[in-house]
Amino acid sequence: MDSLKANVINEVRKLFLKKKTLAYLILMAMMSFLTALFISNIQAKLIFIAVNSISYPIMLLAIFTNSFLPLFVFMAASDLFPGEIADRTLKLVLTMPISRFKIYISKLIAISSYALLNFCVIFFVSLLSALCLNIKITSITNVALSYLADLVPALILVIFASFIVQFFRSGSTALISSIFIFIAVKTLSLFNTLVNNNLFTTYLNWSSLWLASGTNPFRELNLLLLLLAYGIIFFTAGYYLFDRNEV
Amino acid sequence: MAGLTKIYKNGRGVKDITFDVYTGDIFGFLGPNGAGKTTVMKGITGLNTIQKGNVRILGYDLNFQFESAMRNVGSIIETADVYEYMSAYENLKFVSRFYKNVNEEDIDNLLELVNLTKYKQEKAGKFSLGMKQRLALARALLPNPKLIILDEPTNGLDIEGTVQMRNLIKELAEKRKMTFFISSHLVHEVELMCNKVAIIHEGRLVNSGISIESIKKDFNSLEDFYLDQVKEGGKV
Repeated sequence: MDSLKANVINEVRKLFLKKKTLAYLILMAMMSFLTALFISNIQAKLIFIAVNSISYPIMLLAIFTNSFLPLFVFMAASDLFPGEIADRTLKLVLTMPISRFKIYISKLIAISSYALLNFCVIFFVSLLSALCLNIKITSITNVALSYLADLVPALILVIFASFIVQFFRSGSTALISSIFIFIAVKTLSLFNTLVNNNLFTTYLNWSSLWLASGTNPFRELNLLLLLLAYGIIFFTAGYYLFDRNEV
Repeated sequence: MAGLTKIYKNGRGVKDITFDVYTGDIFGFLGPNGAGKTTVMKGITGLNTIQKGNVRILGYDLNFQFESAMRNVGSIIETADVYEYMSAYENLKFVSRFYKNVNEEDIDNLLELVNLTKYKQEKAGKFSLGMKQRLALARALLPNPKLIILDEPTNGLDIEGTVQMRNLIKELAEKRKMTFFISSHLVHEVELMCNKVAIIHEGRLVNSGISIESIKKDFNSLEDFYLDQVKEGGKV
């Protein structure tokens, strides 16, 4: 467990020592504030507004989980897996007294913590912006629960990204390919309802289903199990490929 | 190491490599480029999967007790790579987290040993090749391992850097009683640095570890011995 803890710290440090990681976090915070500013301005000037100002943090969550989150997760996964193969630095950790299984887990934890931090930044900045700019929020509990619920598919996305990038040996190729694969899957699900209902990418903004049609415990449990199944499959396949990786 | 075999898809690789490295040895692993030295080095550090044979380090089986086996090993494989976006200090701190007994003082002492104290907070990406080699060696030495595995440690170094590296290895073996396993294609380098040598040629071991002192009794130099051995194997 000591080696796992040591490598989790190392992987998180590696991710945050790269300037772009922090830059994207700041960018997300700025975007959250500027969007709120824009909404408050059009609210003041127009009689009819298309944006539901009551759920601004939730609206932002929907945008984030379907666009920026996948981008950031693919970026972090590309950096920590194929990016390190290309930089010839993966061997530096592979020759430490730690098993490959623990290395894989620690990299997943590092990417997940980056995703979690993004959720926190958007949550707090959108809430504070809404309060400062007088955008009404009816229930903070509802907003918090939505963010918590969407963490589950976000973690599955982290596991998925860590699996996909195993096929590549260069960070940039992995990032571009992952984005294309994600867009292809999303596009495919637009044309086929059956595919759409069974793909985990449909539920990245899981909380929106609850808000639209209320909570149905059996449906939510069914979806949770579907997401977990995806998680188990991608984790197993991803670790298998990582373990066979020759550096 | 017993019967280590690793054949790549293109048919190249190493076959049935067997030898022992004993405590206190500076063991040279000599062979031309492409002979399979790095494949063996990667096999004994778990960087590639071996198809046959087994590797035991200090009694631990590498396949089943990887963490215990690697706890007393420091290595530089293929090239002296470091995290270029980290400072020299951070590169060593990265290693220290895996070992309870390594503290800040050890990091400072090691930076001094490899003459990098002045550049402690400087990003490794700005270092010259020689400085990177020394930082990589510091990474390998930090946990005070019993076995150091170095793949072509003087590759790319100038004359001064080569002499510095050679002297440092000899000093560490003598003062800290460290065991070294060093691969090289430079016969003179091995002769000056090591006390035992094994020769690999076209993926096969020509001999499995002879004292250089005993070689010099029968041959003028290690070079003559090398040519004789390879010729005997029908390879030249």
